[in-house]
Amino acid sequence: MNTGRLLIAAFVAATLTPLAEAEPMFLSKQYTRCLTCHFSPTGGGLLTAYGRSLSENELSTFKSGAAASREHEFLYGALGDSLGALQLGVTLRPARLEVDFTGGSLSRNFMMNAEVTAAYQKDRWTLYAEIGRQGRTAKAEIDSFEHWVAFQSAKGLGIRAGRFLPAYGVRLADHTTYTRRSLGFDMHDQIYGVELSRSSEKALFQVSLGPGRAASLIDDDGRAAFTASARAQFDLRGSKSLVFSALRRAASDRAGADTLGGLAFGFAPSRRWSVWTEGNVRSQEGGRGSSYTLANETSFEAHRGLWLKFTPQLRTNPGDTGGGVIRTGAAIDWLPRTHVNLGLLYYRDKDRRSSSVTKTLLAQAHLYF
Amino acid sequence: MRSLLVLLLVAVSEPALAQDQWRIVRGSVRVLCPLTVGGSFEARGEGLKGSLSLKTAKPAAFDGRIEMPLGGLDTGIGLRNEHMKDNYLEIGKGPDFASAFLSSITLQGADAATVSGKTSFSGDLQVHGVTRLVQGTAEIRRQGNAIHISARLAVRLPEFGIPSPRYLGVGVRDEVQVSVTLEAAPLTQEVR
Repeated sequence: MNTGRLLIAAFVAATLTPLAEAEPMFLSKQYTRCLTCHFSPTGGGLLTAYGRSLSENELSTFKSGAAASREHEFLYGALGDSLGALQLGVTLRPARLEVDFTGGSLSRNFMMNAEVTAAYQKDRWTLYAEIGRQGRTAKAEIDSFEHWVAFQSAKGLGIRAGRFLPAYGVRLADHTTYTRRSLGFDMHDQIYGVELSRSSEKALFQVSLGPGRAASLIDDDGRAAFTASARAQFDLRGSKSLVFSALRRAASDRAGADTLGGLAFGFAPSRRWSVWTEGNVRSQEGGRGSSYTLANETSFEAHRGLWLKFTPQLRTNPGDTGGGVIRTGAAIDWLPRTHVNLGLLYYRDKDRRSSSVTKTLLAQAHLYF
Repeated sequence: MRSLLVLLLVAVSEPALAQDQWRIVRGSVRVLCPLTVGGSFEARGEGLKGSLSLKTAKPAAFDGRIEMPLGGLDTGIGLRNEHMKDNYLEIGKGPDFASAFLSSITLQGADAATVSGKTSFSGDLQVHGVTRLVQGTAEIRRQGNAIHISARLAVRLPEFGIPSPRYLGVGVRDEVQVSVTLEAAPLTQEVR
């Protein structure tokens, strides 16, 4: 394998897909907010007790026949109530990846990540921290990519401080989606900052401010830039949601200022079917013009716990709407039983200028206890 | 001859709700339940039934009642349905719990002979075996011989003896918004 192929392989391996991280597809079950099932208001990560119960009783194909089952709890409920207000979770993601690209191919078995997450809730305060082995790079390391403290008032006012992914658009489970990774919302793009929020029955407003991407601040790589984001979500009648987003990254030592604006719309024609579409425009200082990203995710629950997904996507280069990459993606997500999610995902990425094509097949188990 | 002309004029210009008796032909209910963590979900149900008879024309007031069987309410999630019906509405406790009833309906300040468009209403709502006076708004329009009504009212669960719904840290707020859509036809028309 030559250097070019190695670079492509390394790039692909670094952009793998964790499944069932956050699932906007549950709009079809009338869940429009992340906080119902996750501790994080921006979704993903440790499930709340409610989210765990939902995974056993409503979302998985099979469930325990016991009347008061604790199967969905941490370690299958082996610790009983001894943890009190402390919630723990262990996550493992073994995966198999196969990639075909122009002039080569790659296949690999690996552990995408293995981590422990803890959340402690008392009197409307939440302390949240995750630590684990992140296997995205060749040099797997132990690190904590998300840790924060938050307070939520009875009237829906919230404040959060720490390291977290800023609220922007719709957080689709696949972090390689063009409306995520291409815009700087990848797995490890958390910022250090403060987030203010206002949540009501029909709307959610989130504003965050911070000195920049946490990893850049720690590594002092010259890319840390003051970051401000704003997101407004309006939940409309009949399982529809409209999301407006904006983000501004100031100029850093190594990059010009960066401005994003986006609009997302989700609707659920039935209790088994949801459709999310998000479009963004990005303007980078010193760039040759604006670039665009567009992603659709259509999810259909063919059988209880068995989801079929189709996701066409587009991303263009700055000032070149005729170029860019078109992605055609399809996935099967199976939630056979609580604690286990299985996924099979296929992507075909075609560069519109060079006509080069990259095909990616990922099989992954997401085990959480 | 003059009497006949008057009768004909009344028949031709007969406006909304001036009929003596009405039967609910079809109808549905949506209950918007705001969550304590933000957001909301809807419980949806069909099968509205009942009949109403005009008691007074001004204000338009009706005898009879509208019934909504609660067993068919669906929130899209089985566990949520189970909790709603068994733990909170307690529909298994008997007929007074299995359905919601709205009776003694009065369209405030409205004349049965002319009412159309938006109006406010009051009535006795029975839910969970408890009856309370409620108020809301309704939009009335005529389509052929039928009347279409879209009504909205707020219901405070504690006032009906319904405990605050809570499950593993997620709950429904005390006040839910009820939307009712129904079509009613004159009973005499049906007989013909």
